[in-house]
Amino acid sequence: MNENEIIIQHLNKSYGKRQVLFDLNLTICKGMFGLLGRNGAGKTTLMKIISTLVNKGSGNITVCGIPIENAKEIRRIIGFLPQEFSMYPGMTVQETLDYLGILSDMDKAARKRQIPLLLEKLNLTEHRNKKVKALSGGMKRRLGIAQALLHNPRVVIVDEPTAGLDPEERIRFRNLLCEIAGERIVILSTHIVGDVEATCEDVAVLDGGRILFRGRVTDMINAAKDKVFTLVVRKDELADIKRRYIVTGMTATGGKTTVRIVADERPHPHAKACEPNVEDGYMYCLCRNGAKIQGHKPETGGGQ
Amino acid sequence: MNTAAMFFKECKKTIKSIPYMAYVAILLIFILTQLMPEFKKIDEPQPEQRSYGVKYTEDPEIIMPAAINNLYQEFISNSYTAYPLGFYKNIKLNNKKQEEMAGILAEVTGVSKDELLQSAITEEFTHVVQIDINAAINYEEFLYLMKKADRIIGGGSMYSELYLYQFGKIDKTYEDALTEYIDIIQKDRVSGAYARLFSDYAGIILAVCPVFVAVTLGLKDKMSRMNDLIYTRQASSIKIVFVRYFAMISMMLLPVLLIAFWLTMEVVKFYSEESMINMYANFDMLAFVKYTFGWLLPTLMVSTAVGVFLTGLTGTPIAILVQGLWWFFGLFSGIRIMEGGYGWSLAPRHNILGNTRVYLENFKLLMVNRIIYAVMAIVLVSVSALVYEAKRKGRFYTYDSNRKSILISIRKVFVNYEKISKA
Repeated sequence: MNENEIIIQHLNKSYGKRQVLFDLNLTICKGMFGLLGRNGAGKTTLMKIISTLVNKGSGNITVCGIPIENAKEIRRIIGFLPQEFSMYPGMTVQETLDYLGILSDMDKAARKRQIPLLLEKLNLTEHRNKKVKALSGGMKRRLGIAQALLHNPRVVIVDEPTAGLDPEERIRFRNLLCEIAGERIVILSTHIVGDVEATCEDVAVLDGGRILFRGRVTDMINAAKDKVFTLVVRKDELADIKRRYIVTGMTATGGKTTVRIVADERPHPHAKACEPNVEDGYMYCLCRNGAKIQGHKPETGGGQ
Repeated sequence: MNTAAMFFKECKKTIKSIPYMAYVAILLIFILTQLMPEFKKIDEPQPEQRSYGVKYTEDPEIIMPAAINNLYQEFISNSYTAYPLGFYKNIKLNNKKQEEMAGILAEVTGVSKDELLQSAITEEFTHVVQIDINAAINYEEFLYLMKKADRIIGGGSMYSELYLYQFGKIDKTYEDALTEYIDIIQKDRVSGAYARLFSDYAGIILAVCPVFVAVTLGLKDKMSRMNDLIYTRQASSIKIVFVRYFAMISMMLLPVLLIAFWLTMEVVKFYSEESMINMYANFDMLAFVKYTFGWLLPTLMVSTAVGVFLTGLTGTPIAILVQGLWWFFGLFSGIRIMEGGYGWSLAPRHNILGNTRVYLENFKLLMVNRIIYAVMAIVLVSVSALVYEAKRKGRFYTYDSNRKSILISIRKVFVNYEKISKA
């Protein structure tokens, strides 16, 4: 059993009668791993199952060789930054980390050593005496990652960490995630393709509780090779184009619009083939697997 | 070591919470305004004193005539005093019920029903009849008829089981008073009597206020959206729940102990000029502390544990309602044993300075009562730790896209909620 991997086999999960994960099989290795999917794809459920916060239905999961049923041991090696979280508003940054460090069974010496290091690393040293309620969204996220790293876990799970951050904070946060990856497994769960593109080599695409793709980001992009086209259309043609094809980008110039289309075949004689990017690869992956795309009602072709 | 650090952190959290500050304020105000006026030096009774106070006897010869006289007075004026749910209420009966009441009085006194009714409808009470207990009526029959009278009035009347004892009120004799005084000096070692009165008043607060602190702190993780951060830590659920519980208990006991020390000094002051040389040798300086731990602590433990348990289980403040009702009905039903007796009350009453004999006679019952409540508190907190662990592992976890369904699904009250996930 590999001690540097998370192995998920035949994982199913239901909430009452509603099944949200279907026979998932996934192996996650050391380094940054992106879990990409739309809202409601089942990402948070999967993250919570790995973090022992939600019971798995059936199947097997081992985290660094430890079965998920052994929650106490899993908690020892996992750091988790939930999608929606906050902290006691009246506590200062330092007090919060100290409190959570105690709950992580860290002794005083370890807390004294680790907290200043993390504050420094996350640019929070000058804010250490600030109360949590006075922190900006970005600072709160950084504090969130600090608490996840506090006990030096082997696995770090971050769920939608950049949601609500401004572009600058988002870039800084993504860089930070890459820095902390090192010898750890870092799972970045997100619906923002750019976050995965900027940070991860490995990615899995989850949709409707099923894994649609598992591999390198470059493979996902390459899969869309020769499937991406640009086409200049009139504004009154836009609605029809969007209905018939998967449109991944639009640029308006004067009375015309240049649209970026993902399709199996050249959608129009005037359409020009172009190099795919991650978003194209992701959209193509969704379409190829029959995922429903909002506003897109294919008749023929259209990237299916 | 880590447990100690966690304990101090939790103590700090408790102290900084607003309900805790309110609890300290209420406790202090209650003691100052309600208890302190009754805190006075107990003087040795002297022969030929005008009064030695009153006591209650269970002698039917005393209770029966006093109760019947009172009932007759209320009957002729058709104005009955009652305390349904503990609150004063004046009751006026309709003709049919008055007739029924006349029937009861006729049975107890032997006076005809018509004559009794006549006396009741005459203005200015010109036809008041002389009433005496019917010699043919025994005490059991009398009690049965009083119960009936109470039902006619609507319950909570002076003839209910709860209040009937008050008709056994008689004056204490010099010998009674002297015996009581000697008990206070020798058996209570003076301060014990005061400590009991303190326990009576403080118990009223400790039976209800701690639940507010427990609920607020119990909901704090949820309100601060910190549950997931704590659930994924390594500390065991038993450790988290018990350390938090003991931190709350310690912090809520702290002001009680401080007040206890202060009151000990107050009692010492009463007797500072006492000529009895042996008084200080006999004085129990630790009585208040002993009573705080032995009498008050179990009450505090239970009201806090109810808060911990129900808040942990439901994630709602329902514990306030549950403990509030328990407190209210406990207080009301404890009226009968307000001056000792204790029974199974959560907050045993002893609303009198002295009455040592009653305390000693019921000491074993009181001990059993306190031990049972303390054990019950520990059991409740242990179950809370199990619930916490289950929630931590997502055992009660459900996916709820429509929070309104909470109104129609009782089961869902006991689960963690997850809004529609964004992922």
